[in-house]
Amino acid sequence: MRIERLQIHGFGRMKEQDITIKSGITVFMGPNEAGKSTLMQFVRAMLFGIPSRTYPTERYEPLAGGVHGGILKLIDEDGAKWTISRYATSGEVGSGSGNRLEKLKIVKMDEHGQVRDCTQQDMERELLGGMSREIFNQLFAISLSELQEIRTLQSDEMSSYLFHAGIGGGGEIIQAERKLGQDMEKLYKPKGRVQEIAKVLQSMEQLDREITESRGFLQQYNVNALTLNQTVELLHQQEHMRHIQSAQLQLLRKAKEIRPMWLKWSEAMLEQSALPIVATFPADGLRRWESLQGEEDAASLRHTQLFRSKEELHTQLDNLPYDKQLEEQGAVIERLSNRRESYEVRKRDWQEAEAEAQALDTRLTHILRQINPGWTRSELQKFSTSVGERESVRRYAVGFAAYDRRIESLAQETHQLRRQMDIAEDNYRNAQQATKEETEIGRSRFAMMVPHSPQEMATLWNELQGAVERWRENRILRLSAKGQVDSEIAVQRRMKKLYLNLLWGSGILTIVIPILLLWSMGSVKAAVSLGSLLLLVDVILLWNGVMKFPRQHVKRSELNLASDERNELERITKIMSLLISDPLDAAGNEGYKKNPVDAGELESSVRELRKMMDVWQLWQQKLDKLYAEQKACQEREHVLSRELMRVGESMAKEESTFEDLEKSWESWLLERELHEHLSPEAVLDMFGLAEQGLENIDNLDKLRRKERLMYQECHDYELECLSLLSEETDRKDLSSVAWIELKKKEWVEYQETARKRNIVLSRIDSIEEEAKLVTDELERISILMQELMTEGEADSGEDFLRYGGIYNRREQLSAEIRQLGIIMFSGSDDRRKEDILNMLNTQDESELEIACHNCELKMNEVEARWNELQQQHGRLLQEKDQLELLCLHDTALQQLEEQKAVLKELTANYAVMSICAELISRTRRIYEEEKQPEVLKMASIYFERLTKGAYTRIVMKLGAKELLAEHRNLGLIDSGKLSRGTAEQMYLAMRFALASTMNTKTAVPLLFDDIFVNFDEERMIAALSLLQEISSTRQIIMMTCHPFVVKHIRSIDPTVNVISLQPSV
Amino acid sequence: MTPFRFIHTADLHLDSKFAGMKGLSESVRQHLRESTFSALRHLMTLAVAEQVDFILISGDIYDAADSSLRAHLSLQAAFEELGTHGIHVYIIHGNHDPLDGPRLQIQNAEHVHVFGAEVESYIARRRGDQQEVAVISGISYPTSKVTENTAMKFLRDPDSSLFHIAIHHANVDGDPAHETYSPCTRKELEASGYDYWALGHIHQRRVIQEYPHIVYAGNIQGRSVKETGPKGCYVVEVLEDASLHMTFHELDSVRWFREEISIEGIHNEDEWIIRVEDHVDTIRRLRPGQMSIVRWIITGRSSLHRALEGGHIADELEQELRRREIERAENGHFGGLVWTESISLQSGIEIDRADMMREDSFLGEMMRLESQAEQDGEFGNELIETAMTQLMSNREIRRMISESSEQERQEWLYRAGELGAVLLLERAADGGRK
Repeated sequence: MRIERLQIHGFGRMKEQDITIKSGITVFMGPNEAGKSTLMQFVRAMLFGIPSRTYPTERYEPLAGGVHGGILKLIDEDGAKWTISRYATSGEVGSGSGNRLEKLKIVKMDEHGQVRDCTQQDMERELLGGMSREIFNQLFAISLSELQEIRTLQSDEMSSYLFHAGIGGGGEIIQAERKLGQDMEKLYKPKGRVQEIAKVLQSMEQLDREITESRGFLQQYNVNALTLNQTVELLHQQEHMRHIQSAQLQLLRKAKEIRPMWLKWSEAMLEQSALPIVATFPADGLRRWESLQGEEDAASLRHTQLFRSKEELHTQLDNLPYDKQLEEQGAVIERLSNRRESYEVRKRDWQEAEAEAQALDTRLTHILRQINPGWTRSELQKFSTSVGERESVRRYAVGFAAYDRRIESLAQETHQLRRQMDIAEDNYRNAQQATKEETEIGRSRFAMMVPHSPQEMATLWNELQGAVERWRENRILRLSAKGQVDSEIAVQRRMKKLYLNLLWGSGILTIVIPILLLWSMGSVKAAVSLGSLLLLVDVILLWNGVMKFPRQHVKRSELNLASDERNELERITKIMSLLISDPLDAAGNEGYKKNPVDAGELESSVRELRKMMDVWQLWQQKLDKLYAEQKACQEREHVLSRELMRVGESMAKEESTFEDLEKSWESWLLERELHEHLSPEAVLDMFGLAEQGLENIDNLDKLRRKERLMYQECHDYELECLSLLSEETDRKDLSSVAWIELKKKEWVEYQETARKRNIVLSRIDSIEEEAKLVTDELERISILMQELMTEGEADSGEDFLRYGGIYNRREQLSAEIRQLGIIMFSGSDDRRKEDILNMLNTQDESELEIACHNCELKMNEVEARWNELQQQHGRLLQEKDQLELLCLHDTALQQLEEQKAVLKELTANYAVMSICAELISRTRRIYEEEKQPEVLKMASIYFERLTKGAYTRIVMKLGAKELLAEHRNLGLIDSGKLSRGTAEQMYLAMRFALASTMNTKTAVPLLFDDIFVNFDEERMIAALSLLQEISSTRQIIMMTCHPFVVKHIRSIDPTVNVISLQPSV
Repeated sequence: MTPFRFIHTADLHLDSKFAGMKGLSESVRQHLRESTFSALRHLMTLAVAEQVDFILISGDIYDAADSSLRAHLSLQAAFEELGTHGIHVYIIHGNHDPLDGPRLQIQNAEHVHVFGAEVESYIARRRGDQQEVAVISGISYPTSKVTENTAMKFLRDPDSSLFHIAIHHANVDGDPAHETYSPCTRKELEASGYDYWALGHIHQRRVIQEYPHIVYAGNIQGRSVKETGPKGCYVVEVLEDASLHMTFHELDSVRWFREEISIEGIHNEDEWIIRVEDHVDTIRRLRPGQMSIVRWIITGRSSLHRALEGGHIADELEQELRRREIERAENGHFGGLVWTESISLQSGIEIDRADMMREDSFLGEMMRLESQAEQDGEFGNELIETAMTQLMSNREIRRMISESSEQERQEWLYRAGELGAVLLLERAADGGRK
C-alpha cells in the first residue's frame, strides 16, 4: 500500500494543496511552520477520521480558510485505488473516527476498474490489515514525542504483538498472573487478618484454646475421682468424731443444767437418811385424827345444849293447863256452833212458807170463782185442759168466723149490684130520649127529600153522580170536536198503556197480595175476598184497556152526539126527582128541564145536591150511633137484674149452715158442765184460768210439805242444845243460840292452849331423841381414836401426832428425790446417769462451765470441719457431673477438625494457584531467557545495526513492561538507563521490527516526522541506510527541516523524492 | 478342640474427629460425634447377641492426644455392660492410646484384661462352662512410637494345645499409608506358631493370610474420606476341628464414599447439577437408614470446567447440597442423609494435554514444566516449596503442608497445570495457537 496523492482542501495552515507521492522514500523538506507535521496529521486524519473538537491540537482547523478536510488517494498491494474524501462538518462536538460529524466517502476502484463504496471499517480491514488508530499513530506515523514515549510500547495490544509467537500473547499471561495474585491474596497475605486463611487460623486458635480446656477434662476427672474418694473417707472419720464430741458435750450440758436440782436432790437424800424410820403409820392418820377430835368436841357441845333446852321446855309445859270436860264437849259444841246459822235461816224460811201458803189459797179461791162460782177444787182438777179440747173449741170458733165473713161479702155484693142496676136504667132512658130527639131533628131538616131508606138513597146518589159524570165527558168531547181526535187517540193510547201497566201491576198484586196475606195472616177468607176484589179490578182494567177502544172508534162517528146528551139529561133529572121532592129545589131542577141544554145550571144544582147529600149522610151516621147506644144500655140492665137474683139465693143457703153449727156448739158446752151461752172464745179463756188454778194447787201442796220439814229441823236443833244445857244449869237464861256462841268461844281459846302444849311436848321428844344420838356419836369417836392409836403404835395421842409428822416428812422427801431423779435422769441409761453423777461429784460449777465451754469450742471446730468436707464433697460431685455433661456436648475437636479441613482446602487452593503462578513465572523466565519473541530478535538486529554493534540485543522482561538492552560489553541495561539517543534508536529498532513483523500482507507506509535529531551522524546514516533498505518493501515518508538529512539520504539513495515545502503565509 | 467364638475388633478411635468436614450444622456435628459411640454400642449389642465368649481389641481404642473424657466414660460403661454378661475383654494399647497416655484412673474389673508393655498371656475360658479354650497373648505400646519389631517376642507355649491368639498393633509388611510402628513381616508372624493374629493399626480390614490367620479387623467407623466402605468387626468362630469361621459385621452408622462424576459431554451447568443430584439420590437409596458422607470427584474434560474453575457453581452446589441435608438433620432424619464432604475438581478444559505438551508455546512450555514437576519429585517439591514460601510462615500451615501426601501434591500440580490452561486460554479457546 502506498499513498499516492494528498489533496488538502483546508487543514491547519495548509490550503488547497495537491501533493503527489511516489513509492520509495519521499522526503518533505521545509523550514518550521512549512506544514510538515500538518501533513502527517492530515494522513492520520484522512485514514482514521478528523479528531473532534475535544482534541483541538490534533484537529487542525483550517486557519487559511477552505473546507476542513481533503482527499487521500492510495493504491493497495493488489493495485486497487482507494479514494478517501473526508470533510469535517461544522457542528456539535463529537469524538472518534468515522463518526457522523464528518462527511466521508471512501471509494475503492480495483484493477479491473470496478468501483465500490466502502465504509471506514471495510477500509481499515482491507487496506490497513485491521490496524487500529493507536497502532498506526504509535508505530507507523510517529514523531519524536511518540518515539520517546515508553508507554507506546506497553499497551496491551502492543504486548500481544510482541509475544505474538507465543500463545495468546503476553496479555493473558500478565492477566493470569494478576488474577492468580489477587485470588491468592484473597486467601492469604502475610500479616493480613481478613484473608480467608487468616480467619480460619484465628478460629482455629480459638478452638485450640477450647480444646486445651477440654483436654484437661480427663485429668480433671481423674483428680476429681481421687479427691472424691479421699473426701468421702475423711467425711466418715469426721462423722465419727462429731458423734463422740457431741455425746460428750451433751453430757456436760446436762450436768450443768441439772446441777441445781442435783444439789437439792443430794440434800433431800441426806435429810432422809437422818430421819428415824417409822415403820407403820395409818394412811392419812394425822388428818383423820384431827377430824375425829373436831367431831368429838362438836358432839359434846351439842349434848350440853340439848340438855339445857329440854329443861326450858318442861317449865313451859307446866304453864299450860288441861280441861278434860271441855275437851269432851268440844266436838259437839263445835258442830252446833257451825249449824247455828243454818238453824236460824231455816226458822225464818219456815215462817215465810207459812205466809205464802195462805196467799196461794186465797188466789185459788179467786180463780175458781172466776171460772164458775159453782166449781170447787175437785171440779177444777177434773177439767181437762188438754190440746184436743182446745182444738175442738178452736174449730168451733173458726166455723163461726167463716160464716160471718161469707154473709158479709154477700151483703156487699147485693148492695153493689143494686147500685149498678140503677145506673143502667138511667142510661137506657137517656139513650131513648136522645134518639127520639135526633130523629125529630132529621125529619124536620130533610123533609124535602123523598123518604127512602138510607141504602136506596145512597144508590140513587151514586147513580146520579155517574150520570152527571158521563154527561160531562160527553160534553167535553163534543166541545173539542174533530180537532181533538188525534190528541185523544194519543191520550187514549197513553191511557191504554197506563191501563195495561195498571193491569200488570194489579195482576201481580192479585197474585201476590193474597199469597202474602195467606202467608202472613193465615186467613183464607180475607185472602180470597181480597183476591176476588183485585180480580175484579183487573177485570175492570182489562175492560178499560181493551174493551173501551172499540167504543172510541164508534165515537168517531159523532153523528149522534146531541141525542145522547139529551137522553142523559133526562135520566139525571129523573134520578134527581127520585131523590128530592122538595119544591124549592125542584124549581132549580125545572130550569134544567126547561133548558136541558143549560149545563151550568145542572152543574150548580148538582153541586147543591152534593152539599146537601153530605150533610144528610152525616146526620144518618149520628142517628145510627144513637140507636146502637140505646140498645147497649138495655142489654146491660138485663144482665144486672139476673145477677141480683143469684146473690139472694146464696145468702139463704148460708143461713141454714149457721144454724147447724150453733146447735152442735151448745151440746158440747153442756157436756162440760159449762154455761151454754158461752162463746168458743170465752171457753178458750177459761182454759187459761183453769191452768192457773191447777198450778196454784200444786204450789200450795209443795209449800205445805216444805214447811213441815223445816219445823222438824228447828226442833231437833233446839233439843240438842238443851241436852248440853242440862250440864250447866246456871246458864239457862240464855237462848240456846247465844249459849252455844259463848261455849264456842270458850272452846276456841282452849284449843289454842292445847295446840301450844302439843308443840312443847313434841319438841321435848325431839330433843331427847337428839341427845341420845349425840351420846352414840361420842362413843363411836372414842372407839375410832383408839383404833388409830393402836395402828400407829402410839401410846398416846401426842405420840401419834409426832409419829405422823416424821412419817409425812419422809414421804415428802422421797417424793422430792424421786421427782428430781426423774427430771435429772429421764432418758439416760444407768451408765450415763453414773457418768453424770460422777461428773457432778468431781467437778464444781465453774469447772463444769469451763469443761462445757471447751467442749463446745471443740464441737464447733469439728462441725466446721465436717461442713467443709460436706461442701467439698458436694462440689466434687457437681464437678464430676459437670465434667460428664461437658464432655457430652463438647464438639470443639470436631470443629477444629472442620476448620482444619477448611484450612486444608484453602491451602490446597492456594497451593494450586501459587504453583500455577510459579509455573507461569518460570515459563516466562524460560521465554525471557531463551525464547525472546521474533520481533525482539528482529529489533535486536536493527538495534545492532543502528548502534553499529555497540548493543547486541534487546530483551523484554515478560510482564515487567521493561525493555532491556544488551550492551556488547556491559550486558543488559535497563532502557531507562540508556542515553537519550540510544534509547530512541532502540525504540526505532523496535518499531522497525514491529512494523516488519506486523501485517505481512499489507505494508503500511511509515511516516517519520524529524525523528533523527538526537542521532549522531554515524547512527543517522545507519538509520537512513536502514530506511533505504526498508523502502524497498514499504513506502516511507520523512519530514525534516535539516538539509543535511536530505543531503545524507540523497547520498545513500539518489532516487529519493524530495519535496520542498514552503511556509504558506 | 473346644469350640468357642470371639469378636476381633480394633481401632475403635472413640470420640474421634471426622476429617475433612466443612459447613456442619450443630446437629450433624453431634450425629457425627455420636457415630463412634454408636458403633461401640453396636459392638456391645453384637457381642451379646452372638453370645461370644470374649472380645479382643487390638489397640487404638481412643485418641490419647484428644484425651476425650467421654471416650473413657463410655468405654467404661461398655465394659461394665460386658461384665454383666460375663464377656471378657482383652485389650492392648496402640500408638494412639499408649500406656503413658492419659487414661481414666479406675481399677479395671476382673473381666477386663489389659496387656502391659511386655508380652503377657492369659488363658481364656468359655463363657458357658468356664472351660479353658485359648491362650491369648498381647503387648501394649508403652509410648506412642514403637519402632521395634515386638512381634518377635510372641512365642507359642509349646506345652499348650489350646488355641493361640496374638493381639498386636502393628504394620505388617510396611503399609506405606500408615505409620510403620512395630514393623514386622507376614513370615515372621506365621513362624511364631500362633493360630490367630488379631491385628490392629491398619484401618482397612484385611485377611492377610489363613491358617494361621493374620487379620486386620479394620476400624469400626470410617472417619475420613480415606476410610470408605463398610466398617465393623469380625466374629470368629473356632470349631472343633480347629477350623475357623469368620463373619464380618458392619458396625458403622456413618459411611464414607468417593464418587466420581465425569463432566465429559456436559456443557451446561444445570445439566451438571442435575447429574450430581442424581448421584446424591443414588447414594441415598443405597443407604436409606444411615448417614453417608461423599466426596464428589469431578473428572473428565469439558468446556464446563472453565465455569467450574472460574465461577462459584461448585461452591454454591456444595453449599446447597449441605443446606438440604442440614434441613433433614434439623428434622431428625439422619437416615438417608447424604453429606457432601467436598466436590473435588479434577476435571479440565477440553484440551489434549499430550498435544499441548508437544506445542511450542507458552502454555506448552508451562505444561511441560508442570509435567516435569509431577514426575521429578525433587523438582516438584522445590516448586511447591517456592510457591508456598509465603504460607510457610504459619506453623499450622507449615505442618499441614509437610503432612500433605505425595498424592495431594501431585494433585496440586495437576490442578495448577489445568488452572494455567484455563487462565491462559481464557480469552480465546483456540487462543494464540498458530
